Amino acid sequence: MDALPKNNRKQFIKQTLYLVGFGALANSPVRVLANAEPKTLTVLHTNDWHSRIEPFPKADRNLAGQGGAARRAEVIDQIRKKEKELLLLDAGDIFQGTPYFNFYGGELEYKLMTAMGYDCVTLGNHDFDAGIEGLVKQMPHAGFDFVNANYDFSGTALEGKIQPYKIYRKKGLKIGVFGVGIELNGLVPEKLFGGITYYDPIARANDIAKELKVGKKCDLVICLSHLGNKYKDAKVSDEVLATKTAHIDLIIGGHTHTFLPEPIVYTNVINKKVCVNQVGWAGLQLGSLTYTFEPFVNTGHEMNSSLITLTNIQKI
Amino acid sequence: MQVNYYQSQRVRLLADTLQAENAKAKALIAPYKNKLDSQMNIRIMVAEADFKKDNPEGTLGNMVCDLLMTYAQSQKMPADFCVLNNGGLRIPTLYKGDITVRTVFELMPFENSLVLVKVSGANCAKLFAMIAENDGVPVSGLRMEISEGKAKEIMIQNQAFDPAKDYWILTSDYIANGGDKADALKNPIERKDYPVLLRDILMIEMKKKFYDGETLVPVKDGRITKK
Repeated sequence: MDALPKNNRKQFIKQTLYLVGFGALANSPVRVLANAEPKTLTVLHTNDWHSRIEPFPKADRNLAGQGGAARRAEVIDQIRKKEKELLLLDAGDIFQGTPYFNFYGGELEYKLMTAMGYDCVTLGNHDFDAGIEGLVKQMPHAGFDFVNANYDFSGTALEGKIQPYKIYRKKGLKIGVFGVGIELNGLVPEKLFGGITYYDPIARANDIAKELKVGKKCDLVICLSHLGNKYKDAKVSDEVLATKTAHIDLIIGGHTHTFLPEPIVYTNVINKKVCVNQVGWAGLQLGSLTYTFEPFVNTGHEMNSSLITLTNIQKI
Repeated sequence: MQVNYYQSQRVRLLADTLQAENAKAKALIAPYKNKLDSQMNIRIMVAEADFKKDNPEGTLGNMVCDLLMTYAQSQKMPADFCVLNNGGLRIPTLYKGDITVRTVFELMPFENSLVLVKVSGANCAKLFAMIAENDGVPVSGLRMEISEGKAKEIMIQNQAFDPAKDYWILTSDYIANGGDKADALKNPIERKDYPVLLRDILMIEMKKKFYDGETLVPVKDGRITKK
């Protein structure tokens, strides 16, 4: 596009605005032209850490020596050397699965994630395994934000500690991040989450995503979901979330421990593309999505995704 | 603002250079790890072969339920049979070789305690229907055949299931509270809660056997079959 003469550029913008329809008209072409450089944003993500601090034990014939938080930290550090302003996110179930959780209650998990520079996480069902009090007790160790938009924490010790969404500014871009969680009833013993009210994640996601995209004019709207990738029945999942909502660009999923070979792209209710990604569990993989924002158009971006595998084996 | 993806590609990086460990993170982990290792790396049993989580019947689920029944009998608890859930077993395979305290923690990380519930024959039948729908769950003292999604040929302690009788079922507090679709156990005739974790029972029983010179051999005896 840089090769286009100036007049043609204007022509190109007009055509593109026309092609993408009504919503894009809200963007002033003048404002768009003021920032003429394309911008790229890297989003790194994990899900379902499950207290995997150390690499898998020697006795595990499939995964012996694989993963490990110190390796995750090193990979992230290396990427940060090239990409200063990236987003690092997690889709929940940080807790439970190794004695590190039984003995230290999640303290080390949060300290490591803070050291790695996580920006934001959402809550999975296992993050309640030490109860609401157990979760609140570890929060001082977490130097990152917690988001969830479909649990009402009013009257519990978590009230005011978890926001429906957070807006991050990276490289002059505005990125809205919100979270949705799975129905805890029947999944988590009631004594551990009692007092939290669950709301339909689809309705809440639609409200929040609209507020972020239309109201707050975010360039990118990301949903951290602990609903699960998809189910045989009609149970709400990332697939349902992607196809039954508007204004979400990216869903970073968890819960089902799904090793997606590549992100799945769905079409949402307003005929826009939504990307869903999930990277298994135990910190064996780190998802990396790089978005390119086209300033002349401001109606589209490219997305490159890569999967950084902390294992030597192809199949897990 | 509008979003329109026109390219999506994927690069997979499997470089060995990614295997390096971060020194700062390692230093953060070290004191926690050292303290844990002294308690976790203790051998309490030896597995003669791999134990696997499986449906309708798996050697891992059989072993866990059998050990719980052994414990119940040693404590003179009137357990007729034991039922757990597949979701409660958190490793797919317990590998051949040394079983350490850490192994048992990873197998059963939840703080679930032991419960006995006295359940009517009618509710037992509902439980068996749920087990059949789920393609089998870990059990002990119970045998059944799953045929077209239904529970058939049900035997409890080698006697045919009697729907007119009440039975004592050994399970976890999670399942006794109706977790994992076990609604049939929610309102029992009687319930006894024991202040002991399932994980601790496994360790007690493994240590006992190991002290007696025994090791663990995987058992698959057709307690749940599928047609």
